[in-house]
Amino acid sequence: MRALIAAGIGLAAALALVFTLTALGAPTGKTSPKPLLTTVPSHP
Amino acid sequence: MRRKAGLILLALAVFCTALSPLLRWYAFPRLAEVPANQYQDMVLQARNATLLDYGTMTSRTVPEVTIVQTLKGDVEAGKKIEKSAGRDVVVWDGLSYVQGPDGKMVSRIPERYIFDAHTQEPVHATGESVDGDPVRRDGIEFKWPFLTQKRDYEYFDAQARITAPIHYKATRTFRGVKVYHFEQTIPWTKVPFPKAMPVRGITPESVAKTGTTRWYTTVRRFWVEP
Repeated sequence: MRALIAAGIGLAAALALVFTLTALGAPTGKTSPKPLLTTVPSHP
Repeated sequence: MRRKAGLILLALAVFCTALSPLLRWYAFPRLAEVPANQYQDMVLQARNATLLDYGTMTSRTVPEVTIVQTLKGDVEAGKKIEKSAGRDVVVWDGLSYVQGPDGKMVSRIPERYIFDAHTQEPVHATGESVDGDPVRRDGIEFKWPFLTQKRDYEYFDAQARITAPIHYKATRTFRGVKVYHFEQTIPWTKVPFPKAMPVRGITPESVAKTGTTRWYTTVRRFWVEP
C-alpha cells in the first residue's frame, strides 16, 4: 500500500511539473526596435 | 529507515519514468515555438555578378553584389492574428535589399510571412505579402520546422510567388554534424518587376511598356540539422 502511495506521489509530481510548465508557456517578448537593414551591418 | 529510503527512491523512479514521455510528447509540442520577437540579419555576396542596367537595358558585369536580408518578428501583429486564428502565430517582416558595388540600391523586396509558431504551417491573414502584393503561401519559407524529417516539403519561392516541392535528397555529415540535404528547382517562370526600381524615373509599368518581361529560375539547396 505504501509503495502504491509513493508511486502515486511520484506520478502526481511529474504531472504537476509538466502541466505547470506548459501552462506558463514560452515568453513572447517584444518587437525588436532595430530596423530592417538597407546597409551592410558591422561585423559583430 | 531503509524502508523509507526505498519508498522515496520508488517515488523518484516513477517521477523520472513519467516525466520523460510527458516532456517529449506533451510538453514539447506545446512549448517548442518559434520566438515571436525574432530579429536576424544575413549578408550574402556575389562576385563578378551580372546586372541589368534598366537605364540602357544592357547587362554589365560588376565586381560585387551584396544582399542584406533582415527578418524581424512583429509581436503585436502576431497577437492580433492569434485572436482570429485560435492558435499561436508568428509574423515575420522580411526585407531583401540588394546593393551594387557602389552601395546603391539594385532592388528591395519586402515581404510578410505569417505562420503557426509550433508547426510552421502557413497562416493566411491580411498582410501576407511579397513586395506589397498579397500572396498565399502553402509551404514553409526561411526556416525549417522543428524535428525536420526525411521527406519532401512544400517551400514558398518569393520571387516566383509559388509554392513548390522541395525534395529530400540525402543525409550527409557537414563539419561533423548530421544534416539532411533538400533541393528545389524553380523552372523558368515569368515574374513581376520589383516595385522599387534602381533608376529614377523608371517604373515597372514603363519597363513593361517597352515589351520587356522578367524571367527567373533557381536551384535552392538546404542542409538542415534535424
